[in-house]
Amino acid sequence: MLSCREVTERASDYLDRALPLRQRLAVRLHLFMCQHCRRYLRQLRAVVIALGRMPELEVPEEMVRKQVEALLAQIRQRGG
Amino acid sequence: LRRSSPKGDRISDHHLSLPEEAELVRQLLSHDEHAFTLAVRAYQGKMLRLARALVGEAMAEEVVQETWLAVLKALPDFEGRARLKTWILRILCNIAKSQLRHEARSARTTQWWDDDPPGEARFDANGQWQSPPCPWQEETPEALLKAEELRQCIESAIAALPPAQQAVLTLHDIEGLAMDEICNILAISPTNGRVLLHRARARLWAAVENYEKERGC
Repeated sequence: MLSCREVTERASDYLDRALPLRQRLAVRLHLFMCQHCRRYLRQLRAVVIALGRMPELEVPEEMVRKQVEALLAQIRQRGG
Repeated sequence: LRRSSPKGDRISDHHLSLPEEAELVRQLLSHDEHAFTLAVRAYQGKMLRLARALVGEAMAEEVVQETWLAVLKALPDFEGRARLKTWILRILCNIAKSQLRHEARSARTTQWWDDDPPGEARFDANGQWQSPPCPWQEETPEALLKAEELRQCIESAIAALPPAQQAVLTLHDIEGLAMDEICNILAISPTNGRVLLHRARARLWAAVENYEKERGC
Protein backbone atom coordinates (compact mmCIF):
# COMPACT_ATOMS: atom_id res chain seq x y z
CA MET A 1 0.00 0.00 0.00
CA LEU A 2 1.44 3.37 -1.01
CA SER A 3 1.86 6.05 1.64
CA CYS A 4 0.40 9.54 1.16
CA ARG A 5 3.87 10.89 0.48
CA GLU A 6 4.40 8.29 -2.24
CA VAL A 7 1.05 9.18 -3.79
CA THR A 8 1.90 12.89 -3.90
CA GLU A 9 5.27 12.05 -5.45
CA ARG A 10 3.45 10.19 -8.24
CA ALA A 11 0.60 12.69 -8.53
CA SER A 12 1.96 14.54 -11.54
CA ASP A 13 2.69 11.35 -13.48
CA TYR A 14 -0.75 10.03 -12.51
CA LEU A 15 -2.47 13.12 -13.91
CA ASP A 16 -0.46 12.89 -17.14
CA ARG A 17 -1.09 9.13 -17.46
CA ALA A 18 2.65 8.60 -17.35
CA LEU A 19 2.60 5.88 -14.67
CA PRO A 20 2.99 2.16 -15.44
CA LEU A 21 -0.31 0.28 -14.98
CA ARG A 22 0.61 -1.38 -11.69
CA GLN A 23 1.56 1.94 -10.06
CA ARG A 24 -1.48 3.62 -11.53
CA LEU A 25 -3.71 1.02 -9.89
CA ALA A 26 -1.84 1.38 -6.59
CA VAL A 27 -2.48 5.16 -6.64
CA ARG A 28 -6.16 4.55 -7.46
CA LEU A 29 -6.50 2.13 -4.56
CA HIS A 30 -4.96 4.66 -2.19
CA LEU A 31 -7.20 7.47 -3.51
CA PHE A 32 -10.24 5.29 -2.93
CA MET A 33 -9.43 5.24 0.77
CA CYS A 34 -7.75 8.60 1.43
CA GLN A 35 -9.71 11.82 1.25
CA HIS A 36 -6.64 14.03 1.82
CA CYS A 37 -4.89 12.64 -1.23
CA ARG A 38 -8.11 12.87 -3.25
CA ARG A 39 -8.24 16.55 -2.34
CA TYR A 40 -4.54 17.00 -3.24
CA LEU A 41 -5.07 15.40 -6.65
CA ARG A 42 -8.21 17.46 -7.30
CA GLN A 43 -6.43 20.71 -6.42
CA LEU A 44 -3.28 19.84 -8.35
CA ARG A 45 -5.38 18.98 -11.42
CA ALA A 46 -7.16 22.36 -11.17
CA VAL A 47 -3.79 24.16 -11.00
CA VAL A 48 -2.42 22.30 -14.04
CA ILE A 49 -5.53 22.95 -16.15
CA ALA A 50 -5.52 26.61 -15.10
CA LEU A 51 -1.91 26.92 -16.28
CA GLY A 52 -2.94 25.74 -19.75
CA ARG A 53 -5.54 28.48 -19.88
CA MET A 54 -3.35 31.32 -18.69
CA PRO A 55 -3.54 34.31 -21.02
CA GLU A 56 -0.65 34.73 -23.47
CA LEU A 57 1.96 37.28 -22.47
CA GLU A 58 0.85 40.54 -23.97
CA VAL A 59 3.31 41.69 -26.57
CA PRO A 60 2.92 45.38 -27.42
CA GLU A 61 2.57 46.13 -31.16
CA GLU A 62 5.53 48.48 -30.77
CA MET A 63 7.74 45.54 -29.77
CA VAL A 64 6.48 43.49 -32.73
CA ARG A 65 7.21 46.39 -35.11
CA LYS A 66 10.72 46.92 -33.73
CA GLN A 67 11.52 43.23 -33.96
CA VAL A 68 10.33 43.04 -37.58
CA GLU A 69 12.36 46.14 -38.43
CA ALA A 70 15.46 44.58 -36.89
CA LEU A 71 14.95 41.46 -39.01
CA LEU A 72 14.45 43.46 -42.20
CA ALA A 73 17.53 45.55 -41.40
CA GLN A 74 19.52 42.36 -40.99
CA ILE A 75 18.35 41.13 -44.39
CA ARG A 76 19.27 44.44 -46.04
CA GLN A 77 22.69 44.32 -44.37
CA ARG A 78 23.28 40.87 -45.80
CA GLY A 79 22.25 42.14 -49.19
CA GLY A 80 19.24 39.82 -49.30
CA LEU B 1 -3.55 15.56 -18.30
CA ARG B 2 -4.44 15.38 -21.93
CA ARG B 3 -5.84 18.27 -23.79
CA SER B 4 -7.87 17.27 -26.84
CA SER B 5 -7.04 20.42 -28.70
CA PRO B 6 -4.15 22.18 -27.05
CA LYS B 7 -4.90 25.88 -26.72
CA GLY B 8 -7.61 25.62 -29.35
CA ASP B 9 -10.15 27.29 -27.13
CA ARG B 10 -8.19 30.47 -26.68
CA ILE B 11 -9.10 33.43 -28.80
CA SER B 12 -5.80 35.18 -28.15
CA ASP B 13 -3.82 32.17 -29.29
CA HIS B 14 -1.94 32.33 -32.56
CA HIS B 15 -1.74 28.58 -32.99
CA LEU B 16 -0.88 27.78 -36.57
CA SER B 17 -1.89 24.59 -38.35
CA LEU B 18 0.84 22.63 -40.14
CA PRO B 19 -0.06 23.83 -43.67
CA GLU B 20 -0.25 27.40 -42.36
CA GLU B 21 3.15 26.88 -40.79
CA ALA B 22 4.67 25.53 -44.03
CA GLU B 23 3.24 28.50 -45.91
CA LEU B 24 4.59 30.88 -43.28
CA VAL B 25 8.08 29.36 -43.60
CA ARG B 26 7.92 29.75 -47.40
CA GLN B 27 6.94 33.40 -47.04
CA LEU B 28 9.60 34.04 -44.43
CA LEU B 29 12.20 32.58 -46.77
CA SER B 30 11.11 35.04 -49.43
CA HIS B 31 11.53 37.82 -46.82
CA ASP B 32 7.91 38.84 -46.86
CA GLU B 33 7.42 41.65 -44.33
CA HIS B 34 3.84 40.65 -43.51
CA ALA B 35 5.01 37.10 -42.77
CA PHE B 36 7.63 38.43 -40.35
CA THR B 37 4.94 40.43 -38.56
CA LEU B 38 2.70 37.34 -38.34
CA ALA B 39 5.54 35.19 -37.04
CA VAL B 40 6.68 37.70 -34.45
CA ARG B 41 3.08 38.16 -33.25
CA ALA B 42 2.59 34.40 -33.03
CA TYR B 43 5.79 33.48 -31.21
CA GLN B 44 7.14 36.55 -29.36
CA GLY B 45 5.03 35.97 -26.21
CA LYS B 46 6.00 32.30 -25.99
CA MET B 47 9.66 33.16 -26.57
CA LEU B 48 9.63 35.85 -23.90
CA ARG B 49 8.04 33.51 -21.36
CA LEU B 50 10.68 30.85 -21.96
CA ALA B 51 13.53 33.39 -22.03
CA ARG B 52 12.39 34.82 -18.69
CA ALA B 53 12.39 31.33 -17.25
CA LEU B 54 15.89 30.60 -18.50
CA VAL B 55 17.79 33.88 -18.06
CA GLY B 56 15.53 36.13 -15.99
CA GLU B 57 13.54 39.23 -16.77
CA ALA B 58 16.49 41.56 -17.38
CA MET B 59 18.13 39.55 -20.15
CA ALA B 60 15.01 38.00 -21.68
CA GLU B 61 14.35 40.57 -24.42
CA GLU B 62 17.97 40.50 -25.55
CA VAL B 63 17.86 36.69 -25.84
CA VAL B 64 14.62 36.88 -27.85
CA GLN B 65 16.10 39.43 -30.25
CA GLU B 66 19.21 37.34 -30.73
CA THR B 67 17.03 34.26 -31.30
CA TRP B 68 15.12 35.95 -34.12
CA LEU B 69 18.37 36.81 -35.89
CA ALA B 70 19.54 33.21 -35.48
CA VAL B 71 16.17 31.95 -36.76
CA LEU B 72 16.48 34.15 -39.82
CA LYS B 73 19.94 32.76 -40.51
CA ALA B 74 19.00 29.12 -39.96
CA LEU B 75 15.60 29.16 -41.66
CA PRO B 76 16.84 27.80 -45.02
CA ASP B 77 17.93 24.67 -43.10
CA PHE B 78 14.52 24.21 -41.39
CA GLU B 79 13.33 20.80 -42.56
CA GLY B 80 9.92 20.76 -40.92
CA ARG B 81 10.72 17.66 -38.86
CA ALA B 82 9.70 19.54 -35.71
CA ARG B 83 7.01 22.18 -35.39
CA LEU B 84 8.28 25.68 -36.18
CA LYS B 85 7.45 26.73 -32.60
CA THR B 86 9.51 23.87 -31.15
CA TRP B 87 12.39 24.62 -33.51
CA ILE B 88 12.41 28.33 -32.57
CA LEU B 89 12.20 27.57 -28.84
CA ARG B 90 15.10 25.13 -29.16
CA ILE B 91 17.24 27.85 -30.78
CA LEU B 92 16.21 30.22 -28.00
CA CYS B 93 17.20 27.69 -25.37
CA ASN B 94 20.66 27.26 -26.90
CA ILE B 95 21.20 31.01 -27.03
CA ALA B 96 19.97 31.41 -23.44
CA LYS B 97 22.33 28.70 -22.23
CA SER B 98 25.36 30.21 -23.95
CA GLN B 99 24.34 33.59 -22.53
CA LEU B 100 24.27 32.03 -19.06
CA ARG B 101 27.71 30.53 -19.55
CA HIS B 102 29.00 34.03 -20.24
CA GLU B 103 27.29 35.34 -17.13
CA ALA B 104 29.26 33.12 -14.76
CA ARG B 105 28.48 35.34 -11.83
CA SER B 106 24.77 35.03 -12.32
CA ALA B 107 23.06 33.25 -9.44
CA ARG B 108 20.71 31.62 -11.94
CA THR B 109 23.49 29.42 -13.32
CA THR B 110 24.12 27.85 -9.96
CA GLN B 111 20.40 27.40 -9.31
CA TRP B 112 19.77 25.71 -12.65
CA TRP B 113 19.30 22.31 -11.04
CA ASP B 114 17.44 23.04 -7.89
CA ASP B 115 17.02 19.83 -6.03
CA ASP B 116 14.88 20.20 -2.94
CA PRO B 117 11.77 18.03 -2.92
CA PRO B 118 8.99 20.34 -1.77
CA GLY B 119 6.62 19.72 1.12
CA GLU B 120 8.60 17.06 2.99
CA ALA B 121 7.60 18.52 6.36
CA ARG B 122 3.94 17.86 5.67
CA PHE B 123 4.28 14.12 6.22
CA ASP B 124 5.02 12.09 9.34
CA ALA B 125 7.68 9.38 9.58
CA ASN B 126 5.30 6.85 7.99
CA GLY B 127 4.62 9.11 5.03
CA GLN B 128 1.06 9.96 6.11
CA TRP B 129 -0.20 13.54 5.93
CA GLN B 130 0.78 15.44 9.06
CA SER B 131 -0.60 18.68 7.72
CA PRO B 132 -3.17 17.67 5.08
CA PRO B 133 -4.20 19.93 2.19
CA CYS B 134 -6.71 22.53 3.32
CA PRO B 135 -9.97 22.88 1.38
CA TRP B 136 -10.05 25.70 -1.18
CA GLN B 137 -13.08 27.91 -1.72
CA GLU B 138 -13.49 26.47 -5.19
CA GLU B 139 -11.29 23.74 -6.57
CA THR B 140 -11.79 24.37 -10.28
CA PRO B 141 -9.45 25.88 -12.89
CA GLU B 142 -12.11 28.49 -13.74
CA ALA B 143 -12.22 29.69 -10.14
CA LEU B 144 -8.41 29.88 -9.96
CA LEU B 145 -8.23 32.12 -13.02
CA LYS B 146 -11.29 34.20 -12.21
CA ALA B 147 -9.74 35.94 -9.20
CA GLU B 148 -7.26 38.44 -10.66
CA GLU B 149 -5.23 38.56 -7.45
CA LEU B 150 -4.85 34.79 -7.40
CA ARG B 151 -3.84 34.74 -11.07
CA GLN B 152 -1.13 37.29 -10.26
CA CYS B 153 -0.09 35.10 -7.35
CA ILE B 154 0.30 32.11 -9.72
CA GLU B 155 2.33 34.27 -12.15
CA SER B 156 4.64 35.33 -9.30
CA ALA B 157 5.00 31.73 -8.14
CA ILE B 158 5.99 30.71 -11.69
CA ALA B 159 8.54 33.54 -11.84
CA ALA B 160 10.00 32.39 -8.51
CA LEU B 161 10.59 28.79 -9.67
CA PRO B 162 14.18 27.67 -10.25
CA PRO B 163 15.02 28.10 -13.99
CA ALA B 164 14.91 24.44 -15.04
CA GLN B 165 11.57 23.87 -13.29
CA GLN B 166 10.21 27.09 -14.74
CA ALA B 167 11.30 26.15 -18.24
CA VAL B 168 9.76 22.66 -18.10
CA LEU B 169 6.50 23.93 -16.59
CA THR B 170 6.26 26.75 -19.14
CA LEU B 171 6.81 24.42 -22.08
CA HIS B 172 4.63 21.56 -20.81
CA ASP B 173 1.70 23.09 -18.96
CA ILE B 174 1.51 26.56 -20.51
CA GLU B 175 2.66 25.94 -24.09
CA GLY B 176 1.31 22.39 -24.26
CA LEU B 177 4.47 20.76 -25.69
CA ALA B 178 5.00 17.01 -25.29
CA MET B 179 7.64 15.86 -22.81
CA ASP B 180 9.88 14.35 -25.52
CA GLU B 181 9.94 17.69 -27.37
CA ILE B 182 10.80 19.46 -24.11
CA CYS B 183 13.64 17.05 -23.36
CA ASN B 184 14.91 17.72 -26.87
CA ILE B 185 14.75 21.50 -26.42
CA LEU B 186 16.32 21.58 -22.96
CA ALA B 187 18.70 18.66 -23.51
CA ILE B 188 17.53 16.80 -20.40
CA SER B 189 16.49 13.19 -19.85
CA PRO B 190 12.77 12.27 -19.68
CA THR B 191 13.24 11.23 -16.04
CA ASN B 192 14.67 14.63 -15.15
CA GLY B 193 11.94 16.33 -17.13
CA ARG B 194 9.21 14.56 -15.19
CA VAL B 195 10.84 15.24 -11.81
CA LEU B 196 11.26 18.93 -12.64
CA LEU B 197 7.65 19.17 -13.83
CA HIS B 198 6.33 17.53 -10.69
CA ARG B 199 8.36 19.78 -8.39
CA ALA B 200 7.27 22.89 -10.26
CA ARG B 201 3.60 21.89 -10.05
CA ALA B 202 3.93 21.01 -6.36
CA ARG B 203 5.35 24.48 -5.68
CA LEU B 204 2.50 26.15 -7.54
CA TRP B 205 -0.01 24.05 -5.66
CA ALA B 206 1.62 25.19 -2.39
CA ALA B 207 1.46 28.82 -3.56
CA VAL B 208 -2.28 28.53 -4.27
CA GLU B 209 -2.86 26.79 -0.95
CA ASN B 210 -1.01 29.56 0.81
CA TYR B 211 -3.17 32.12 -0.99
CA GLU B 212 -6.30 30.27 0.11
CA LYS B 213 -5.13 30.26 3.73
CA GLU B 214 -3.93 33.85 3.86
CA ARG B 215 -6.23 35.33 1.20
CA GLY B 216 -3.16 36.93 -0.32
CA CYS B 217 0.25 36.10 -1.80
